[in-house]
Amino acid sequence: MSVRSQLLKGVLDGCVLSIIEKETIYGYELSKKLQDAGLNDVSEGTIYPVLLRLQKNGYIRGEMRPSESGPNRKYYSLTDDGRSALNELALEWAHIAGPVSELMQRRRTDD
Amino acid sequence: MISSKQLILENNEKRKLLTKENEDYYDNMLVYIRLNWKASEQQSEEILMELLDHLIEGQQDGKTAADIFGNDPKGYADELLGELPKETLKTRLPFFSYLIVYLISIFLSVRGIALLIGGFFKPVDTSVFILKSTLVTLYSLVAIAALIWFIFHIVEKSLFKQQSSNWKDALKAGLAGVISFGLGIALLFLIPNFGPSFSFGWLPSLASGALLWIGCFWAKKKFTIF
Repeated sequence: MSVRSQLLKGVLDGCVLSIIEKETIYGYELSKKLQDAGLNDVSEGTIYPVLLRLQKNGYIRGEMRPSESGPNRKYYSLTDDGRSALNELALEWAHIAGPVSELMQRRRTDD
Repeated sequence: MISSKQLILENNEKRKLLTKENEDYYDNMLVYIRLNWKASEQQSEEILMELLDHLIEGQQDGKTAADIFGNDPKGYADELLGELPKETLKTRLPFFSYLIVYLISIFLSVRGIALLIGGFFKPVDTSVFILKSTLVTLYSLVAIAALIWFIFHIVEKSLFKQQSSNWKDALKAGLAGVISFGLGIALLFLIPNFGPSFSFGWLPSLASGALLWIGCFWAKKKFTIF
């Protein structure tokens, strides 16, 4: 596993939650959205264990229903628990992201 | 909610859309996940359907199963199984009870018919020794469960391999079957007839077997056990 995908693993839950917060979505669409957001390193299949875990924790709800194009699909939506988990994650991320970026930045200017 | 039964039917149809290569990859995961009886059946079928839908859509964009799910299908399936909710004993209980009663009904019916036919040729002993019969019945149930577990185990090990030797697996399963059956017959002859007994002729045997069988049939329809 590349360094980038290892780093990503920890924050992927938050990324998935933030996309589902915006809209009810099914798996294939979700993986497309992640890639569109620039996370090309996330192999598409990675989202399914994440979706199962988030469901088990009660952060999202999955519901099988017919899609506009015909076949049944499992659509995911955020629960109230999921919203508060996402809020907390976003807050924690803000605490970490700033200092880490600064440290990495400083490293470059010291050279 | 779409039942797991419907999902399985839909899955069978949709799988035909896969290319040979993708189907091989997907089939291994499918069998591996379905064999894991601890995972919730409904949730297993739902995730399998999602993976299949994803694969079909990806295939249209020229992606392979390995591009989408990675190069380690077993590792990926294990990761999924780790996150799938467990089936509770309570939801499994009706199925197991059904299975046991069903087996007993078949046994009683076959016994009744065998006694009837045997009776035409020579006088048959229809007495049942309660302790011995209980022991042999318990053995049969345990042996059947062990045999099923063993066959599942063999299939599980044969998955995700470039080439698996089918005849060796078949031989192993056959041998296990012969040994457990032989042991059952041996028990029947080795345990002496002792303790309380009663006479149980062909008619009551066949009649009780048939009744239990009808009961099973009714319960299956009424409670949609599987």
